[in-house]
This record gives sequence, C-alpha cells and structure tokens, in this order.
Amino acid sequence: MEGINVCDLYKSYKAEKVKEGSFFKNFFKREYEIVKAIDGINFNVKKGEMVGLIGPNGAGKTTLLKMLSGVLYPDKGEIRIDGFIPFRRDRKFLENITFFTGQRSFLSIIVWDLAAIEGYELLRDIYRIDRKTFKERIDYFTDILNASDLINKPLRKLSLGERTKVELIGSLLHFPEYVLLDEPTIGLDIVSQKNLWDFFKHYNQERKATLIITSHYIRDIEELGKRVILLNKGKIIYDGERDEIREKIQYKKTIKIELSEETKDIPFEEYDYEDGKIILNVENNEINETLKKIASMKNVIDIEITEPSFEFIIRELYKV
Amino acid sequence: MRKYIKTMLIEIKLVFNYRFSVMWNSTMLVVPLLGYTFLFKKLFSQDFSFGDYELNTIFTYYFWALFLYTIVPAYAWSDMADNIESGSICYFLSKPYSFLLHYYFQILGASILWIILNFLPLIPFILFFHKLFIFPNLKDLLIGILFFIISYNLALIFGFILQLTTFYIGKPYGYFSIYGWIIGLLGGEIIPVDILPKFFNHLPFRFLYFIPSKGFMGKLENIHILILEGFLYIIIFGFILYLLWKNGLKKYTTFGG
Repeated sequence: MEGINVCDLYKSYKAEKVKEGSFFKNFFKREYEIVKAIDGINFNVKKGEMVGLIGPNGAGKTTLLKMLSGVLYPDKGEIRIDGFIPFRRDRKFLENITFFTGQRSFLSIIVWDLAAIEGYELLRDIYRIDRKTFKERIDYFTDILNASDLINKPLRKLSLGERTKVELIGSLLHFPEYVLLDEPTIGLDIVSQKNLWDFFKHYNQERKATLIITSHYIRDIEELGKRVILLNKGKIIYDGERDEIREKIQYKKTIKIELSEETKDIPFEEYDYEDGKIILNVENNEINETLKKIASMKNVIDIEITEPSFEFIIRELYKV
Repeated sequence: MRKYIKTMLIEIKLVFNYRFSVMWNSTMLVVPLLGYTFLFKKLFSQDFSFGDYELNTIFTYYFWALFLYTIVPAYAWSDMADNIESGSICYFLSKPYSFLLHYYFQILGASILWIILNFLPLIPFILFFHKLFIFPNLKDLLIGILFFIISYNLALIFGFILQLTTFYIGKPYGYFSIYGWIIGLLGGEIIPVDILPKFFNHLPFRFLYFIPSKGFMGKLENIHILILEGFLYIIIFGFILYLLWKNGLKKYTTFGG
C-alpha cells in the first residue's frame, strides 16, 4: 500500500490552564485541561503528491506531522506510510522520511559550533551513504541552494536563512521519498522564502517525492501545491483543490481597526471584535468606501489591511 | 556503530573549539587537592583521627575521588532534558539514530578527553607529594579501572533516568541539586563512605566514587561480590531506564505538537 493513509486519527494532551490570579495559588494548585490536538481525521496522500497543510496556530498541524514521522503515538486510529506504522520506527521507514522545521533543527543541536559538513558526515553514517554518492549529493544540493560557501562555516555564524539552507541539505541528504516540512520558511525574508518554495517544487518534481508542508500563513497557499488540507481545532475543514480556496479569498481583504477606547458608534453592520480590534472582511471593491467610513470614526488610532484571516476563510468554507 | 564513533569525534572537536575553557578546566582539580592536602597535613600533625585513615591513605583517597568526580558524568547532559521539553528530540526520533546512544557516546567522547586533560596536570602534583601518594600496582590499577567502568555506566544510567523524568514531570533541574547532594555525600566525593553510618555502606551510590577510589588504592575486600553487585545495579537501573524511555515516548507530547 503506497502513499500515506490516515484513518480515524485522534491525539489529545494534557495542558496546564493559564489562569489569572495569585502566584501562590497557582504555585500550589494547578489545573489542567485535555486539549484535542487531532480530532478524528481521515485522509490519503498519493506517492509523489505535494500537499499544503494549513491552519491557524494550535490547529494541530505540527502534531499531525510528528505523528506521521513516528515521533508521537496516536491515541486512536491508524497511520500507514508505504505500509509502515510510523511510531514503530522501522529502520526502512526512517531511512525514507525526513522531518524538518524552519526553527532549530538536527545540525544546530549536533554541531552548533562546527561546520555543517561535520554534521553531514554524521548523517552519511546514519543513513549509510557511500562516499561517492555523498559527495554527489552535497554538490547537487549546494548547487541548487547556492550554499557551497555555507557548509564549511560554523553554524552559529550563519544567518537564519543560511542556516535553514544548510539544515535543509542535511535533512534531504538521504533523498527521502517522504518529506514532512513544518513551517519551513518561518522567519525568512521574502526572497529566501521564494527560493525555498521553488526548491521544494523542484525536489517534488525531480525526485517524485511526497511533500507535506505546513504553514499558518494563508498567503503561502500559492506555494503549497495543488492540494490543500485546512485544519482547525484538530479537524479537517477542507481537503481539496487550492484553487477553490483561492477563489473564495482572492477578492477579499481583512481590515483591522484599533480604537483608542471602546465605542458603540460603529458604522458597520457585520464585524468581529478581537484583541480590542474591530475586524472587517470586505470585498476589494468595497475598500475605498470602507476606508471613508473608518475616517469618519473619531477614536481610530491604527488600521491594518491584510489577507483574509483563517477564521474568515473557515466561515466561508462552512457556508458551502 | 560508526555513527556513534563519529558522534564521539564530533564531541571531542566541539570541546577543543573552546581552548581556554579546556585549559582552565583541566587545572581545576589541583586547587581543591592542594586544599585537602594542607588541611589533612595540619590535622594529622596534631594527633587527629579520621576513621581508619592515615595521612597517606586519606590523601590518596581524595586524589582518586576528586579525579573520578570530574570525569564520571553523574548528571549526564543537561541539554538532554532541554531537547525533550522543547521537542527537539523529534530530530533524533525521526532518524535511524538512537537518542540515548547519541548522548552515551557524546559524553564518552568528552570523558575520554577529560580523563587525559585532567590527569596531565596531576602528574607534577603526584610527583611533588609522592611520599603521601599510594601508587597502585598493576592488579589494583586493573581493579580500579574495572570499578571505574561500572561507576561510569551506573552514573550515566542515573543521569539518564534523571533527564528522562522530563517526559513525566517537566525539566528536572529542581531536584538536580538534591541529587548532587546525594551523590556527593553517599557516592564518596565529600567524605569516604566508610566514615558514614553502616547503612550508607550498602547503597548503590557508593559505586560512583568510593569503590573505584578504594579499588585504585588496593583497599577493597570481597571484590567478586562487589563486581557482581555493581553489574546487578547496572542491570536493575538500566531496566528502570528502559521502562522510563519506552513509556515516556508513548505519553510524550510537546509544545507545538
């Protein structure tokens, strides 16, 4: 059975309740709640597919990737990747996947004060890659990612973008068929992000690898592959063509209005209120008129126009 | 196995990356040893008694106990707990590479280096105080090394157990200091364990510094039973470690998943 098959998957965990109150009271008595990180999801991914897994913070994206990579045990349900059950961590399975995050990764832990090439040598032994192939792969990746100069410098001396590149090379040295990328472009500038998105597409097409990439930025939807899975509160809200979501959001913007003080005199019929800000979701052709109305409000101290929020998209999808 | 040898070599390179730290750390034993030497010289010159110890035996005891204290990794590595809590353990678990063996060999690499680097400055010290030092014969040296191996592995298992409790109760730093007191006192670093009440002479912690030190001094009795006891502790605590690891992974959750 090739590809990724996820069936009726659940994962919950105990989390400390954040309470306001006295320090001493919280010190002696702590309350916990059960958070459903993954709440009964089903999906399949074909071999060679590139899938974007999007959702707001806390949607369960990272939990899902960690379960796919065999790091976390599911509470209930089943995952099979090429027939392997991930949490059993068979050597053959582990040799064929990689789990990469845009934050601190394997090399940063192992060789922070040394050059990445030292860490690559360790990875060569971990994945039993012969010397000739190893050299060819290093050349291949450094060439595509323009990283030849970077792999011989101590990791701690590299910028975040440079470090992401050398970490990425390390996680792909064994040419895995399943690549699980958790917010791989987080913290990078626009140019570096674009380069990485192009690289992921190139790797997917050339190696026929299966890529699952998470992001909590709706703007990344353009880069995440044709298929998008939208996760919210541990449930799949949408699983389908990227274009369908794109259609729903392409003519819309979210306007956030910050007020100096609360007021009941708000000239809009439909709006949300979040963190002391008024949230409006408007069509592009309504922006001018909306801005005029905002200008007529007395206590506005800041406005921000952004892409539509996840909450808005989720609501739009539920309408369907 | 090659991957773990590589881990050892990486750790040696990392240690040498900080040359001044290496130089400073390698001399840190000489100062407390000098302190103990002058203290006991003064005390023994004034009709002082300290259990069954004479000036030369207590001098030699502290030499070995303090040397072992600097090279036996009783706490394992603190970033082990960090990597569990922060979720960085994922990068190990998603590879055909053992998290525990990684730390075992990483620490072993550092230890090999520290054995050499810490012992070198002690050579002029021993030569200077050669009248006080009981030089081991070949048999005592081998017995000492055997008990050092037991001590080393037991210490790592204790340290790993402590670190793996992160799976269950969060970072264990709060009780690191308690553990430090226990092994310092009951392990034989602060005072020889045979000075303490009899009960404390039967605890596993004495295998950390006390028994290997006595081994190097040729002052051990019932060596076969001690060897058996040492290995039995390794098996028992090794099994506890195994259970903590297996169950810890099953119940593991981490920030951001």
